[in-house]
Amino acid sequence: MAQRQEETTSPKSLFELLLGNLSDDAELMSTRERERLAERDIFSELSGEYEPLDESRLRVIDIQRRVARVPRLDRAIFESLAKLREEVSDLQSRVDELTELARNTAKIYNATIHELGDIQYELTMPIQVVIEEDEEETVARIPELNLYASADTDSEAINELKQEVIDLYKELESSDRKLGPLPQSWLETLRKLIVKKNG
Amino acid sequence: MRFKYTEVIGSVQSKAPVPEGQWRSGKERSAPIIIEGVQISRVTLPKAKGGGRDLSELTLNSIRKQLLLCRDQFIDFVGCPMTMTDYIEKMKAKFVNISEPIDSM
Repeated sequence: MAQRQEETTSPKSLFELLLGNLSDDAELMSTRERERLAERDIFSELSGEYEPLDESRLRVIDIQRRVARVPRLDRAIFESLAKLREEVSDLQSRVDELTELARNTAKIYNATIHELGDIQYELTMPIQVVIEEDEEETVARIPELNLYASADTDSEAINELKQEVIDLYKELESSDRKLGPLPQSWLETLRKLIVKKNG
Repeated sequence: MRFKYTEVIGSVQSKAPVPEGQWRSGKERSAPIIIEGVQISRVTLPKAKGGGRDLSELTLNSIRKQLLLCRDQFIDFVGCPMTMTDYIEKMKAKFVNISEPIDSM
């Protein structure tokens, strides 16, 4: 009897047994479910990262790219400006050099003397004079007579030169020494150019 | 070619063979250059503008031409290496018949 009772399961105990079994199954299901949910979450997360790019997203990316490019553009602009500045500086140096060269280069032109500024001496023909001007002074020359006169202005230099012509003429005419080829040619030229008036 | 007024004047007065006492009065600015009794040229000194100042290239060239020197010779002339004897020798070489009488005189 007692054995029968032992073999016989009371409804309560059966219920408890079933419940226990169910509880075990529930635990098992719960674990699987959790794993499945976790997998779903991971998949959802991954799929979210790889979601297709729509138009708005593309625009955002485009803007991001443009913004990212700005520093590079700035650098390119700055580099171009630096290069331009260097070239302008070189040009400025060149202009300065040329200005200095032009300043130091003598201007050369011709003038004509029609009289010697002395009533005792008259010119038979005008004398061609070379005028050279630089920043410092003006020099009037008669290459044919190897004469020069320097002054601050061309008119002063020409006036000085007239006196040189007269002095040379007087010296050579009154000289009792032998004349070399150059002074001899000067005297011949001066004799053709100058007429000394009496009185 | 840059030389001071005093350097050039000093060189011309001491090295160019001009009649003795030519520069002594201080009034004369021009003088004949005479070698062995023959006048070969005539040199004019520029008016003083301050002895310490450089003479302009134009004036230096004019003096150089009157001394009948090329640029390098003129630099030697003013810069000291060339003596009066050297200068006379150069002029003699330039005018080979300098001592011979000139018919046209």
